[in-house]
Amino acid sequence: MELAETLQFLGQGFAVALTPGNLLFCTLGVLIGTLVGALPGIGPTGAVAILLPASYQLGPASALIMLCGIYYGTQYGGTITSVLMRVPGESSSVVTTFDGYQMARQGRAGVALGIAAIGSFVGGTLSVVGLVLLGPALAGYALSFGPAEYFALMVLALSLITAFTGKSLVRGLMATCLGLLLGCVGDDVISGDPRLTFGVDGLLDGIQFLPVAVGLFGVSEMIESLGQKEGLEIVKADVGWRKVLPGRHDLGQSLGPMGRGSLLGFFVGVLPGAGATIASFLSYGLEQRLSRRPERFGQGAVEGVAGPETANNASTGGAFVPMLSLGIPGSGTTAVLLGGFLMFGLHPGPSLFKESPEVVWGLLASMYLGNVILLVCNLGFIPLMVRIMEIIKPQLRVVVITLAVVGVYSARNTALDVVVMFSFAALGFFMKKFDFPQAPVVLGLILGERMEISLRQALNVSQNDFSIFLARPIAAVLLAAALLSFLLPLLGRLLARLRPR
Amino acid sequence: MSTKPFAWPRAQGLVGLFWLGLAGLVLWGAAGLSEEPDAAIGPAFFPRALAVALLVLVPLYWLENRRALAVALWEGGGRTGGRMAGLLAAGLLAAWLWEPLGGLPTLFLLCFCELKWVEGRGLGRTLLVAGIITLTVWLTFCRMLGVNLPWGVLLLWF
Repeated sequence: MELAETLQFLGQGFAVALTPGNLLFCTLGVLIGTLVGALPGIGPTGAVAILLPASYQLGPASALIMLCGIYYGTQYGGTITSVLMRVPGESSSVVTTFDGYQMARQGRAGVALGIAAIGSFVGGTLSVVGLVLLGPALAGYALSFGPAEYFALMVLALSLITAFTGKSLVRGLMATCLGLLLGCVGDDVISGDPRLTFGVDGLLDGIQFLPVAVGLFGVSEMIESLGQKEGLEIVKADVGWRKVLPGRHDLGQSLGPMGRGSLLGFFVGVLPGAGATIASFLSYGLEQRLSRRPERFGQGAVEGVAGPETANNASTGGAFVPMLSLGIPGSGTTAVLLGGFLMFGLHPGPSLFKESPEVVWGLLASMYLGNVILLVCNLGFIPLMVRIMEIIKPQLRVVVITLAVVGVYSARNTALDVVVMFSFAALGFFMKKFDFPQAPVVLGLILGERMEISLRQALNVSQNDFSIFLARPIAAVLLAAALLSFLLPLLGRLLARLRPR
Repeated sequence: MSTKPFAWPRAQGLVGLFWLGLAGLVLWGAAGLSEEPDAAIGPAFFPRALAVALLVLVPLYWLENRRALAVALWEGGGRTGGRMAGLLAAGLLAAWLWEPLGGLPTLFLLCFCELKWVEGRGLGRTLLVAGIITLTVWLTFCRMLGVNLPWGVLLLWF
């Protein structure tokens, strides 16, 4: 796709995103996202999953604009609690506690929050530019993919998620197997035979991803929160409008980290399995290494807030590249968002840019607007956000459970989905306690069916010859990359053991 | 509230058994599936392959955890565990009552159980919050978004 054509589509996207309704839902999304990110306990995946069924009535463009707004809004929201409470609302904000909280203790909470807001805006906006340029180009390239390439691509996505999320490869693989098995339940798409339904008619349509995702990510967090200590204290800080605007010196020190964080965050976000947390830690490490006075890091260095906060927001734009152009989600949240696309009958992948340009380009344009709204809200309304957070927190559990029950039921009007949701909430709780990653389950459930179809189609094409996956160069390279993703961490561990102490 | 964590010693053994049970269930479920004579793989291939993968992975999981410490499940002893189980039970009860009792009455009941017995709030506040949440659901989901919740017992009055 040429640049002029891209700009033309983007202009049409702005026409969609700038309608009053979509602007309202975009604002609502980033506000909800900021609040969710600020509240420890419910992550972006859970928030998107819980609000996904409720957004069904809004139509595809408005719903997806709101849900994506929640996604990138959460990346900033986690900063508020990281700076003021030393409690990261999100795992991607953990690194912000190192210097952000120290800045708050030094009476510079406003500057830390302001720099984080500006960094989030810069990272978010630049990553959307990258997404607009890279997404359609990648989609155009992927149009030549056949079933063998798709199968290999899905193996790669699952292997990266398995290898890089969670602490153990074995547990990651077990979670992936569970997800793929869940995708097998219901009528076989080729022969029509019912599989693994055990006589339950309600399972003939398969296990829906929505109750699984809401149970695993949303309700299980609420169950877990019952067993955690409460009583978080917020550092009393002046975070009014004037205090959050950083001075020339702070801004000057932050520009470099913001630029580097944007690039790093975007490219880390593109990789399945990596994401915001890894991006923020890599950025922190990079800034510390590049600093002339690395000893300031951990003592309230503004670069330690600017870099990671920019990187974690930039990674969200990057995460949309494989999801929109290849139909391969790289994280739990993009997997749930992919489910949202499917719920509206849209199939992310190479043809999405051609089949539903108004939705895709409207969504991309809304991301630019969303980042501006996020900046205005975060610079101007931080005290209000803190106040709302204090009011909502005691009722959070009951509100989330109610939204989850109504949302999951209303998607298909069946109480069986509510039972599935609570069952997966219990499973999700134990998975977390025993260090099994949850993202591969949802990813496996979503990709499982397509992966199996691709495998069977590829074998039909090759007349049952498995060497088709090695004979086709792209498929072979992707499978080799999948194998490497398993071997590299193992090799790293082996080398670490062999290294003399 | 006691802050002593509730830990589960040697739980990894049971967790491994759960995965083995799952693999066995899948193999049993896939046993009756038809084979496609002309195709290399039929509908049974994928689930069977995954179940076999699980059978291979479980011993590796046990091996990996042979020296693992007891897993702390929650803080606060058995009482907290009871609250967690209570929340799950209330949710499953809500699913069971959803159609016969109706969506909104069930939601009110679920909120009441959660606030009163799981979170231990006072009766007045519980009734107020449960009422507000139910009313908000009716306004936003039923009136604004047009979601059809089952009427249940409310049909007797409306």
